Amino acid sequence: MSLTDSDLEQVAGALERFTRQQVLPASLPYERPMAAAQLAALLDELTELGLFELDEDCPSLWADSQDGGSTQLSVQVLRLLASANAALALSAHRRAQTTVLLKALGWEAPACALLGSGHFGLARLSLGRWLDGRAEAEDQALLADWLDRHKPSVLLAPDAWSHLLWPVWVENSLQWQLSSRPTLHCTVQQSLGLDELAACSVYAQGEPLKRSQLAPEQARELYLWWLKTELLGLSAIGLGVLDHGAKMAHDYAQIRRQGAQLIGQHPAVQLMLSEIDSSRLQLAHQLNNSRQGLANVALAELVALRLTSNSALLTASHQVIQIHGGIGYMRDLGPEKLMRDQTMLRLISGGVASLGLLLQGALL
Amino acid sequence: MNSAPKHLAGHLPLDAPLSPHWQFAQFPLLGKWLTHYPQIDLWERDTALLPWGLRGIRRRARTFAEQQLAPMALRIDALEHWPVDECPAELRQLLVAAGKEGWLSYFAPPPFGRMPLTALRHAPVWQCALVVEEFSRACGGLMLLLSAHHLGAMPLILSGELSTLRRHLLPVYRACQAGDPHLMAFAITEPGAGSDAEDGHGAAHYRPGVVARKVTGGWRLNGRKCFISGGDLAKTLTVFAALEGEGMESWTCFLVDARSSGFKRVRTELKMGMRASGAAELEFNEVFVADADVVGGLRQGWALNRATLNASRIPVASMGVGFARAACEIAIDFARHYRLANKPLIDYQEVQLQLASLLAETRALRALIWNEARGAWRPRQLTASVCKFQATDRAQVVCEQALDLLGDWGGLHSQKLEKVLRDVRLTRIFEGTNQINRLAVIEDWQAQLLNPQQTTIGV
Repeated sequence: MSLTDSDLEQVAGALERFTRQQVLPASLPYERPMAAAQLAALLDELTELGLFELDEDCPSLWADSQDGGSTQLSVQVLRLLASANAALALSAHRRAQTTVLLKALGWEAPACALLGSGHFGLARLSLGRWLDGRAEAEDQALLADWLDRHKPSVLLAPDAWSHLLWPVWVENSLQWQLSSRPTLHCTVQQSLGLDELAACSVYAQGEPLKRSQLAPEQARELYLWWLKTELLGLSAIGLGVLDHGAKMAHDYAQIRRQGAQLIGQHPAVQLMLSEIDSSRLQLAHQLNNSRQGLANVALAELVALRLTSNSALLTASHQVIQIHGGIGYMRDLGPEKLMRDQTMLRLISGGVASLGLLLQGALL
Repeated sequence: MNSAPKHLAGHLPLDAPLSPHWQFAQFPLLGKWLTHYPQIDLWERDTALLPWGLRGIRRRARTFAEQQLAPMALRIDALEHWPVDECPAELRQLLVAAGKEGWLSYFAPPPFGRMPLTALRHAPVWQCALVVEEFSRACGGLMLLLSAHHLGAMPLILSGELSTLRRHLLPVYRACQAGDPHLMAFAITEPGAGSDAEDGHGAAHYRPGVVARKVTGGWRLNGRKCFISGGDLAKTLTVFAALEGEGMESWTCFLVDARSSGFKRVRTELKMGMRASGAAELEFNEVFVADADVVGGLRQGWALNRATLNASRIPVASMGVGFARAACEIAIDFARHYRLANKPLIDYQEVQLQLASLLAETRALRALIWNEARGAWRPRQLTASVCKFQATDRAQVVCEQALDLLGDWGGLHSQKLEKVLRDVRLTRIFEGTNQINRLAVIEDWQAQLLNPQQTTIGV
């Protein structure tokens, strides 16, 4: 099914109401993270809205990578959800990715978490070369280590997962495997942000339940799909977080007075607002390129998008705090949480710092 | 037993034929003297470059920080927010230990405090900057717990009144040294008037948050202060208030005993970082302060406040260096031990580039601060503010770059780095936001900028 602008508007309208009426209230107060049960309930409601259905008649997240409307819908939905709660948006993103991956693999798994990357970074240039069919022995060795599931990796997910879907390197190819939680060693830890989710270091102790046997080309295509959705999805979520921050900053600049005038009338504050707004406008413009459909956007473009936009997103999130001054640092107001979430988004799935070499691996 | 690798990937071993260092040692005497350098640890080198009177302080501060602050840093940071009238036992023990070792009284020499006599030849701000860097490196919150006290005591020192030092500072310092920590806090910030109090740009429209009314024998204080670091534990506070019916120009510094009737610690803030130190909201309801407890004279509070900030902004900049250094060290440790494809990360060129940048940034900040602190006998607003905003802005960048190096692992509390980021973030806000500090530079530069005779302005 190809999504029309009218379809997109309809879904966006429903999601906008859902976000305003349910997600935002559930995300308050900022200093008390949404409970796991509440997060699960909201995800269930998104499921009922059909966002993870993969039904021909139902517009769902990341369902059709050929269709620009479907890709655009995914970006819009994630941005919208993140404008109220980044952890919910990331969870929805992951659930959608998992649904598509499981369907492609012909598997079923309830309460399945997804860890799409390896134990550190994004395998330097090797991943890009392998995706392009140019991996050499040195790349194979690095990829084998990167996806060695007996080494701890960082997983960030709603805590109630019972299965884990993750890639593994088998006989010079990337395959997917499904592990049940009891076969994994998992240590939950506190983390910088995305407080509603559980961060843990995880590694395999036992045999997986299932392991795919994809042909090399299939394996590359499927992983490329995951990587593209990840790059685009995290950028969209980051933009949503900044939407939230921008609203806070503009609202505050209109009520807080210093001396004779509102702080929004001081150039020092106006310039910070401009940094925030220009980051938003620029990334929104870049995300519009996804209208051509995920399959038609080059990996390198999406790598470059996350690589270049993320620093601006992070800087802008700090400016939101700065505009608020002292209360921006306090957990009950919100800006500090947005900054922590934005920083976590920068670090996950290999981290932004690993994108430079990935880009070169994909291009050269 | 594992032997240390002889070199990092991409680099020559130190004893390789083309490695110059061993050859420098074999130059003729003069050549050797001009080229051969010891490859010692950078911290040791910097310490050795300090004036003799300050080296010991730096070493002692590091030892105290590593033995007393660092071991409890993560644990205290992860505690639930505690009520305003409570304090974890560990923190109380730390305060006792810090007091006995002189870390709560090092702003004055004997017989008042524990400043070593050998340090007397150097600006106290420099000494403080050295201590603050070491403490910040170990834990931002614990550093602030110990440092906010000095900020509270600073108006007493800067008032220049010997009687004030004798009557008010001496008992505080003596109690601390005796193991009965008598903490002080500096109370300027008022609800809805943060930058007004720190900069004065809104002075003409300032509406006092705390007002002092004259009564027989003293003053009655009414109003609120907020975000007061250490206000939760302070026994005595230097509170800045406007006189009744007057504006900011009437600001006066009052020494408030926390046991006074009408004084209440309303709550402490739930902060993103520096969680070991409380930021308190304080209520003053007809709090009596005797005439004798006015610090520096009536209507001298505004100047005393600004002098205090001038003295404190270089140490705040030094917090930035401490945090940058902590981030740098964590990144180095990670890069040395984390392995990818059977090689430690430090063997990868991209990681080496990142580490070099972290090192350069951190050392550039320290160089700036030491350079300004060296001459800061009378700290200048311009230079203090330059240090403050530049060091703290860039220190945050260092922390973020270090986080980047750790990738997915950087966000985990156990790696310690995410705490450093949360801690460093406050330094860009308190003691005047960094935007306010930039304006403070210009304010203090006007004598040159407006001088028609000066065609070239020195920078």
